[in-house]
Amino acid sequence: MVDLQGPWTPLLGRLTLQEIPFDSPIVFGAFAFAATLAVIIIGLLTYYRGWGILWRDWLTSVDHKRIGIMYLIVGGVLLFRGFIDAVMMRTQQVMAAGPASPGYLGAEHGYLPPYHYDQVYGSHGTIMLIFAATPILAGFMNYLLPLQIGARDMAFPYLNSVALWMTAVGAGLVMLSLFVGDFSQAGWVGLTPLTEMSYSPDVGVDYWAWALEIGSIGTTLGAVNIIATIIKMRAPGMTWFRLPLFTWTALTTNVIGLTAFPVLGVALGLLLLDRYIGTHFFTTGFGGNFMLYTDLFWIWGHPEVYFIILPAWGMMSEIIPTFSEKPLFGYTVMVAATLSIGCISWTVWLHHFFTMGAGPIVNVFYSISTMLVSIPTGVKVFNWAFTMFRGRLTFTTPMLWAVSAIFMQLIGGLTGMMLAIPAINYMTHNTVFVIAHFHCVAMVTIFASVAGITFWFPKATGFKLDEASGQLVFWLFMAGTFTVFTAMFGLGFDGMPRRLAYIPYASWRPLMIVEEFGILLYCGSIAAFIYQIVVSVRNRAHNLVDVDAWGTTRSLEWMTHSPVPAYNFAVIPHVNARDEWAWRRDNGLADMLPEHYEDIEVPLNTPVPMFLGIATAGFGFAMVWRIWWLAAVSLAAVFIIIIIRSFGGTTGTVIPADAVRRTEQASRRKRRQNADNVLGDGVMAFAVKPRA
Amino acid sequence: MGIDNLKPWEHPEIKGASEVQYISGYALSLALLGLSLLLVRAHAGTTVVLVSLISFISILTVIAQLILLFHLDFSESQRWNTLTLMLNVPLLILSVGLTSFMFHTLYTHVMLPAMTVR
Amino acid sequence: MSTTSGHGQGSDPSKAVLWAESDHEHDIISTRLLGFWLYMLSDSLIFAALFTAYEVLTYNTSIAGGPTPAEVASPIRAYIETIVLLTSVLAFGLSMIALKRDRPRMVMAWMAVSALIGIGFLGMEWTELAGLAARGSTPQRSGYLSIFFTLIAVHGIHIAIGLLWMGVMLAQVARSGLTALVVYRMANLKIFWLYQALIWTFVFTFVYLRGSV
Repeated sequence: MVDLQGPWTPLLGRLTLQEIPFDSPIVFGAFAFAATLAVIIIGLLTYYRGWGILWRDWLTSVDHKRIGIMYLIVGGVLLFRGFIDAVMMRTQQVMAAGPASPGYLGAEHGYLPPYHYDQVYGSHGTIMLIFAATPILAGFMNYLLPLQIGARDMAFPYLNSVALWMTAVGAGLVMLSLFVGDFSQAGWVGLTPLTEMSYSPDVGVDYWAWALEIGSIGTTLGAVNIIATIIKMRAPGMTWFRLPLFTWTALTTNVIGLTAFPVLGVALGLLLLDRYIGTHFFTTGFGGNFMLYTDLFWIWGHPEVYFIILPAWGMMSEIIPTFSEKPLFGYTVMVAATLSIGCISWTVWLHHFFTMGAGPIVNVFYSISTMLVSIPTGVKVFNWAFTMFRGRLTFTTPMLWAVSAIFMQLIGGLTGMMLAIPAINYMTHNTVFVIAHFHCVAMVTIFASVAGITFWFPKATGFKLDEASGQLVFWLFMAGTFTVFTAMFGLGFDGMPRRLAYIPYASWRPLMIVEEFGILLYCGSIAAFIYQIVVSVRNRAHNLVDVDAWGTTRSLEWMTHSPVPAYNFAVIPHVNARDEWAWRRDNGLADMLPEHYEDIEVPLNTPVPMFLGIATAGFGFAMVWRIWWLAAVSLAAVFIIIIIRSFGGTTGTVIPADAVRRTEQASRRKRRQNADNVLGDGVMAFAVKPRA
Repeated sequence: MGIDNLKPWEHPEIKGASEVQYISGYALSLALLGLSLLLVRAHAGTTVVLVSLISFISILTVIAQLILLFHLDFSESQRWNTLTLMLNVPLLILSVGLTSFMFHTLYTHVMLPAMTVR
Repeated sequence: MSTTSGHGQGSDPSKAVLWAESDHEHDIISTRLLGFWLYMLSDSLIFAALFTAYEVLTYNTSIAGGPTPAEVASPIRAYIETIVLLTSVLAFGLSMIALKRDRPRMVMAWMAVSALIGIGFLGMEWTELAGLAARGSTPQRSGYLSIFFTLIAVHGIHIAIGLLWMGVMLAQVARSGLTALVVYRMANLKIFWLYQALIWTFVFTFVYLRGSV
């Protein structure tokens, strides 16, 4: 065991009352905000008698659609937190430029002391990549995949729920670090040897590492599930080259998730061994090699980049054809491009540390392999363009987001090609030019996700989001993006390093004021988004949709009701064409109903994944604070829960054919007659109760 | 989900097991690894030759185990396992191989020769 | 690829089958075996990452004046461990043969044999590491010893989990016989157990033999 700075007791480990930062006004404000929100949510749940619904329909559910929505909620909450971090960073930098800049709240310059600012940028990166983008995409994949391939559920519904809980526990640990103890001050990549015990003696790095470890278990389990689902659960006639493109990208992305996340687990595991028992993997002495950490981290890290971007491209490939009223141009080439990007993603990771100095041969190898990525990516951009060429374009909100995502892809991709040249990379390494580049790429995911939310929202709830306010959200966000990142590219060309709590040159200030203005536009966009949700829920009676919400949709998920019933399809469709729903609609088969219904087997709800989540959360918390007894107890609890469950019997139940027929007929009738009730139980848990 | 297989032991993935394969897989693995051991103990060749030889033998052993013990082939019941494994192996080679390449080059550029011996 | 219809591979709409005949049976055993196989592929990347670290941390600079691979890893001892582990695997294979023939008692008997030999293997791994540590070659001594201990310990943890799993399966076979749930778990356990021998092949070659070349 290693020597700890500060007190340690057997009962509470390193945890003392001083670890709760009462003294910091910012953290206290965040705590007050979170506590108020929690009180409001608990109050609303109690007032509307929502606890039973929350337990029955959500927390214990193994339905892929509900799990998908819960993933989206986790991701959405964390996205908000990550956004607040971004606002804090930009505000600090604009306030702390130049030696004359004043300091507030105990900081020498700006309002955040360096140790606090460092935690903010570390948590921004960690949250945005691992606990916002990843759950949001996992949510889309969970919700859409079984529907797109014509299945009733995922291959392993129970495992699906476990994966959700692991992700939620990881996210929970990051959130907890705000109020109890500190977060890592070493950036989201956790640069060694800075993350070693000698340089980061507090619990920040432990929080970061355990949150990532636990979250990545969730991602790996989710990947197993999604790949098995796509291989084994396709509807009859759904051949490989009839799969919707989103399904293809989900498959590729999860192959990456399955194979890359274990490497992250090892990198962090070795780091934790250094921190907990004093081994010498990444230390500066005793034969450790800290570049080995960087190597292992980016073996995971680069494929992770594609993990995040591929489903976004999949969503764009669904949305653009829908609003161009044309099939996707070059489907086969798109599939090939997706797969080849998945392969190339494994051979490029050194471009994150060209400056390590491995020599020209190594750098040239990785430079060329990085540039190879641009070929399939370029193919995709051209295919989207050709899909729109001579199409009947409708610029609804989802289409606006999807088309702008192509622009962001171009900017992000071309600056990426600049960075792939080692000679340029040596100049721009660790400058905000790199930051601007990967934010442009990450924006593709954000743009496509918002497009996806707007596009599939009616499928999940039965009504569309308000169009006018949606356009406002889009234009504000678009303006914000270009304002912030154009200025940031400029600062990057000027050589401004990343991760600065204090900016020595006052001459960089004007561009940072521009960035701050862009951030204000972003804030306006978030406000508009909240307004959009409120308006949409209030006016939902005017925005009700039928099966096919947009009238020009193409894939299988648009064949079933909106909102989708628990069993997805009353009768599993037999697939005849690539865009099955468009094919049926064009051939006048859209209204054909099945002749008879059969009994449907659905899995039973189970609270076991939640118990596993609680035990894992206990384990993570105990390891962070080195409370050994609690760690042992909760780890034992995990094993015992798994073993006890394995002795259980059947876990399924049957919906009789009669009930299916009744539900089918009722939902048709209801859709025509009672407009106000069409919300369905899909959104009852969080929507305002409809007025009678 | 319901349990539909009335005689689960007749499932194709269970029926594939055979004594001959298990025993020959056992014997072949031990023989091949024993050969490696003998080669190393006898110092039969230069470092490069020996390392290449034992690497080759270990890969042969693993292939023998995959066929004889895991019963991997391209039959209906096994083809997905075989295919996913074949897609997985390049990743293992890439992560170990490229790292090895990169650190070997790095060390020869930046370190004293004595430190880069293995 | 059909280019005329614009939908690719579209069939003739007048003759098309629109609905599946019945809920087509998803074969629970093969789906779950595939899922577990995918998980094992994921696990193989854990070992790949550890071997990557091993590759980097065996240079002289990482030995840091401590014991060298030739002094730490004994190939003869490792070959005995190989024999023990492969014998356990063979016993598990015979248990799978008994499973194929629907003989639950033989399944249990061979699995118990396999587990006992497995415990022996785990004991050998343990005494080896404990002996090294007692001689002062602890994982805190050098980067090389850190990765050596970790690689063997991670393999050992896998073995320990496999043994725990065998205990659970002994109880389940005794309790409910060879139901589909038990059978698919046995098949998964087989993959898991055989996989440890597969990994050991690489550990034996690249850790024990490579160190003495």
